[in-house]
Amino acid sequence: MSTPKEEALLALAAKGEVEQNLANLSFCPPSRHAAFAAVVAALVGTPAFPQPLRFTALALIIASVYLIVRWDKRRLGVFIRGDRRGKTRMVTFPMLVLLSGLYLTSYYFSIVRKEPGISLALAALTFIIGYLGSVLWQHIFVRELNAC
Amino acid sequence: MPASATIIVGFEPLLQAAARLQVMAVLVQVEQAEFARLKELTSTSDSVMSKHLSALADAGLIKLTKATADGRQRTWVSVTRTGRKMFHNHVAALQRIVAGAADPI
Repeated sequence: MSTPKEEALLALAAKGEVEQNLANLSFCPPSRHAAFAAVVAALVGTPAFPQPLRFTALALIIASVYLIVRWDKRRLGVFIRGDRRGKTRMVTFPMLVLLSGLYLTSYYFSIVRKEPGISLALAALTFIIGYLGSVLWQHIFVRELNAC
Repeated sequence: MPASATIIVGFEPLLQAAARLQVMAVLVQVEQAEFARLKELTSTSDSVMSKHLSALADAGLIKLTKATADGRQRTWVSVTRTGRKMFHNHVAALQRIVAGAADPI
């Protein structure tokens, strides 16, 4: 008969094993990172559009988010929220602050200064930031699971 | 663990089965997981996973949602706040047992 300590060790090993399985499963292809980057870039770029088109663009962005969630569920059989508890919040919250700043700057240049070209340039920059942020988030998520 | 074993604070007998602990370990990391994926991650059969999920759902540790996708009904599983807390308490209890610092009650 095994001791409580041995059983506890086995239980923790089983937990570690499934966390590693989840880490291995959670591979994100470049297209997934690009999809996230495209959505945030589009959001930052929306002030560059004239008024009626802006709402259409926002509706398309919301539809894209829904499609990405569906894609994740189909591809992985799990859905992982970007704002999940854990070390990934070290990426999520700074990204949120940065993207909010980019959006407000885009809004200022398009709506106040009437320079939509700047908004489009900010959208391109946002795409790069969004892509790298998504890659970093993924890296931290996998590392967190492997360290559990 | 034998019935006469010391009761460890935070230890949850419902999570004693390795597959249940593994299911909870996945669910605390994700928003939702599909039945088939949980089965694959824990290397269990359909019937065994169904029994485990029913037991966890009945105890309020998880929620089960059915959704149709590609013409098939799929079961999606998520952890409840109670389940998350019980899982973390249970893992802490296991770690105390391993460290030899468990306090009996």
